[in-house]
Amino acid sequence: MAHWAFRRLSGLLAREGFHVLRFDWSGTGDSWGHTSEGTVPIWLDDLAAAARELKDVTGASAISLVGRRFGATLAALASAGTIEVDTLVLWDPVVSGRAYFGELEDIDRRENTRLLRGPRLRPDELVGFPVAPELRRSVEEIDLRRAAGVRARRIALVADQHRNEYRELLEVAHGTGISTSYDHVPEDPSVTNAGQREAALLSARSLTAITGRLVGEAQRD
Amino acid sequence: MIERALAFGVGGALIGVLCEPPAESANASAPAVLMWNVGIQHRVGPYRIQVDVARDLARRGFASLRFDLSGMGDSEARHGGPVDLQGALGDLRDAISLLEKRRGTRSFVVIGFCSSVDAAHELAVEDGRVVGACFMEGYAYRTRGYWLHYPKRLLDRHRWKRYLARRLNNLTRRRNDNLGNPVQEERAAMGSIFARRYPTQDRFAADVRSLRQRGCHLLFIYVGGDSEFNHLGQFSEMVGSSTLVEDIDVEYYGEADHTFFRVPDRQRVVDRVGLWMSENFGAALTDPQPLPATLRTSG
Repeated sequence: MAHWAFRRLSGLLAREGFHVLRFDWSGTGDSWGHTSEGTVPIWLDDLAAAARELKDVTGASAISLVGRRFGATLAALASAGTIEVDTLVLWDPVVSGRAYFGELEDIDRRENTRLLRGPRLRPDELVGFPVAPELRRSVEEIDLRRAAGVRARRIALVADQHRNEYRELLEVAHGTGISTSYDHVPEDPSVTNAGQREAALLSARSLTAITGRLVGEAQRD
Repeated sequence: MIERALAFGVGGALIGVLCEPPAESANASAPAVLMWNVGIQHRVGPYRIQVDVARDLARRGFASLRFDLSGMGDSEARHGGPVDLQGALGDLRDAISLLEKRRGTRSFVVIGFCSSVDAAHELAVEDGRVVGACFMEGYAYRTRGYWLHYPKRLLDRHRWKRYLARRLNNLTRRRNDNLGNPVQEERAAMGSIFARRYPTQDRFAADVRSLRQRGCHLLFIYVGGDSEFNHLGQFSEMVGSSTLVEDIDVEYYGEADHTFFRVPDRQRVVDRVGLWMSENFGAALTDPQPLPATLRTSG
């Protein structure tokens, strides 16, 4: 559903005059490589290449990054590299890689109970995808609150639920002189299952909030 | 192999990825393979299975186009056009036109998976350019054999184990999923999968017969678990002929689930489809390159 959400978001942003490039990480979606081959350094290179491509194609002078969940985490990490980031939009970001894997393992356990011949949890698979030990190690080492060198003119955090780690993350960013904002866009409280959560992701609330934030910041500039 | 993103159809509204083998291993006269959205997912399919199928086929010398139907994935909605079976068939004809013009391809294989079986079946029946069709978790009809096998479900310890695990899970989460008994539960899970309108069993059998008479190669893949298909022999009952089935490839993966959640189950499908293509439309000109070790575990 992330694909559809980002397609809608890119349409909303384009209508507001933004050039938008959305892409699949290496080893995911249509991009090259097998799923088991993705690593954090490769994905950070992907993002740098995407930013260069967007600048080359459009002539844009300022780049904003919008990432959701671990995509937001990668965007934050990439901002410490060669990309000069204007607004960094973190949509329900993964702050702790270790906690993220814990969440994925919970989902995996639930999915495995759906299967008749399960659960047969395999160390090299998670939520239907192969996961190399190296990838797992590198993700679990990530904690955005301690990540060095996150740079952006501003960070806009959009979240469907309040989490202490989000407050701590914004405090750290604010402490380094980055302007921060926080939009709480709650899901419908009646949402209880995966299907409804997917529907919620398709809803325009978060997408409108992100668009509004980027438009507002652009107008302020 | 080479992959290119393409815009095609009226006004370039349809978006797809053409996956082609390298020139030295391309089988120029081979049919090209078409895949499109499964349910509401975009063209890559559940757990990216259609990307894996496309790349395996390219290693075997076959080109494929995976694309988004109108209004789905990256494709624009047809203005005023129906977003239904007829709309999907129109999109498929656009995809065929693209491959005819761009590659000179004259024959095609369609791969339908769950909901995309509807358009795959219709196109295969009505369009003689379709020389092969693979139906994954396609139409199934409850036959006498199905009901004879049915009671085995209630004796299946895995089914009871799953029921109890879910019960426990829901109690601890204070959720109410209207759990009844294992059979009711599985039927509820199946509801969304089997909510589509099937052709009648008689029409299905007649279509299969007519496709074989035309020389169209057929591969049907069914899974166990919560499926309406519960044993390999069910297919011959569905089409009313054991002789006809001798010319058709039918697979029953009793251990797999509807979305091929587990990596080895998915790889089994990718391998089977690739082998079926090689056997029926020309052996691979080069040996398929080995996949990463994580995919080579047995199921």
